[in-house]
Amino acid sequence: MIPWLVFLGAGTNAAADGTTNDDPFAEIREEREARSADEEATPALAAEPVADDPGLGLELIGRLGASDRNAEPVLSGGLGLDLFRRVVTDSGTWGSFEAQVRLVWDKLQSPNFEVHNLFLEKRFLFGRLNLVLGHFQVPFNLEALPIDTHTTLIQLGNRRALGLKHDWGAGLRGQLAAIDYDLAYSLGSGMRFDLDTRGMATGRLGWTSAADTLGLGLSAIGGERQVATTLREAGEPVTGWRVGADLFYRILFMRLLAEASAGQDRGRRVLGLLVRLEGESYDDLWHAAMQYGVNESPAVHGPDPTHRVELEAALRLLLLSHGSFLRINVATHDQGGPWSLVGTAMLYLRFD
Amino acid sequence: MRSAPAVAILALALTALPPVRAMAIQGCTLRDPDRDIRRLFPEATDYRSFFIAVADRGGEDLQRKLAQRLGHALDPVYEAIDVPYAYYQVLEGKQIIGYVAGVNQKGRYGGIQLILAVDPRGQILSLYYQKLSTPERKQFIATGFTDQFKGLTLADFYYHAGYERLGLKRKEDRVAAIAAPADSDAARHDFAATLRGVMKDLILLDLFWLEDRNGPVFDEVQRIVEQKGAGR
Repeated sequence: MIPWLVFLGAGTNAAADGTTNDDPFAEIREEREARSADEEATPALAAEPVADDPGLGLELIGRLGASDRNAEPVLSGGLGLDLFRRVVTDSGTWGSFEAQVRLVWDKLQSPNFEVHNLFLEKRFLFGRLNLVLGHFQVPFNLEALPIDTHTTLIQLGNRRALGLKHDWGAGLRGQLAAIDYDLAYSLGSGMRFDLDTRGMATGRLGWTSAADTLGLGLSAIGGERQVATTLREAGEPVTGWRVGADLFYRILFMRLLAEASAGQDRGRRVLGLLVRLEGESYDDLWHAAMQYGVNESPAVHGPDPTHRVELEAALRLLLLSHGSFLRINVATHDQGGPWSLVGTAMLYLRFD
Repeated sequence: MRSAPAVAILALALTALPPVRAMAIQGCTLRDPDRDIRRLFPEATDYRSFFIAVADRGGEDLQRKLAQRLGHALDPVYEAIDVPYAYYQVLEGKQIIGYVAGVNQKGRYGGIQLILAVDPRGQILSLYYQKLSTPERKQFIATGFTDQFKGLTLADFYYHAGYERLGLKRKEDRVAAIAAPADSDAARHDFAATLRGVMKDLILLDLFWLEDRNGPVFDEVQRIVEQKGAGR
């Protein structure tokens, strides 16, 4: 029991209507006002940080996937390092460094080292201009927004629509008045550092309403990139271009996300569409999402694009015992044959 | 099933890990800090951001102090000891001209995210809702309501708590002068949540950044309340 609550509602020398001329705290007020006047003449200077987010996390991931096409469930694991370090000086924030790398394995393949994010970002002009160097998300459609898809819920569309999500390169991003811009030139090799491809240019212009309830974006991409069926292997070089449009709309605890893209790969038409509805509890204990996607994907092993329709639902529950979560995904897709059903349960533990 | 032993081994390995502090619920961060801070402090030249948890700065003792000063029990989930609260120290050159800090607060229809901009002495310069789900949202975000918080300090909340405990109505009670922006049950609930959230935000700012400058006010108010209570 909080001691001073003992006196809650106790009677006083107040008049019947509760008003009184006797301010019991007048003396404290006077003392404080005098102190404040003294302090006003001595402005504080920024010193070295007294504390900061250590920004270093260790991730442990266990995943069990089952499909009606496979006889047995597949177990896979991952050990990841997630480092985010902001560099601050006595006059502001110089920039930041981010690294998200993982060692992943499953019973079908040998352990593999994956680089997700690995970049340095230098700030200029109070965030109006930022230079990014390294391995980062290609700024195309919704993937350019600060939506965390690193193990959370459902992946967005760039892996399917472009054949890659991250790439090695350099970028400029920032804000011009109400517009967010994000431009990049990258190798087009995805997770692998490979100078054999001519590379690609990507850009997105975005606008978000003041209350952050509505966001709109326009994107474009062009050049040569490698398209692989998995993150691990070298891809086939594909020359092509895309234009895209995306939006989000927030209402109460729900958010609607949508993106569409159209263009050509090797001279053949490719289209993509994604619609997602997601929501979360006020305290972040659960997140849920449903996503529908259609893709005429870039060709990997043949001249013709493949057509894929996908419907996926996901639920993420925070596990308080370790501050980690359990995620369950159920997806069904059709890629020219009978519909396939896939279920995945993932346990994600993070230690900071 | 051949993978069953592997599942069991993985599960055992994961649960046998040492109980390292894990980041659970995130504190309230600004959605667009560059733009938000330029808007809140037009004279700012840059800012520095920090994430501080009660566990890092005083542990259980500090958590108890926070609850005591707030006058309410803390939620074990979203006000847990390891929640990293975000702070933006706003600079003009090398001089600190203010802080921006936000808190999560449970509202009637979901989470509320309250953002405060304060001067270097902890006086509120502005308050806004980064997230608020209620049918009366327009009344809450209207400057006619939020501007009433301008100029308040943590000391005003400590005085207000003292007046309430003593059952006094005083014109000096600047917090009591703020009225709920609408008259429904939900609005009253979210208004109370707003007052609690603002007070919590100010207490944390005071403890983390302002060297507990309002701590003596709390102690004095408590002493006076106890004295007057004992005198009756």
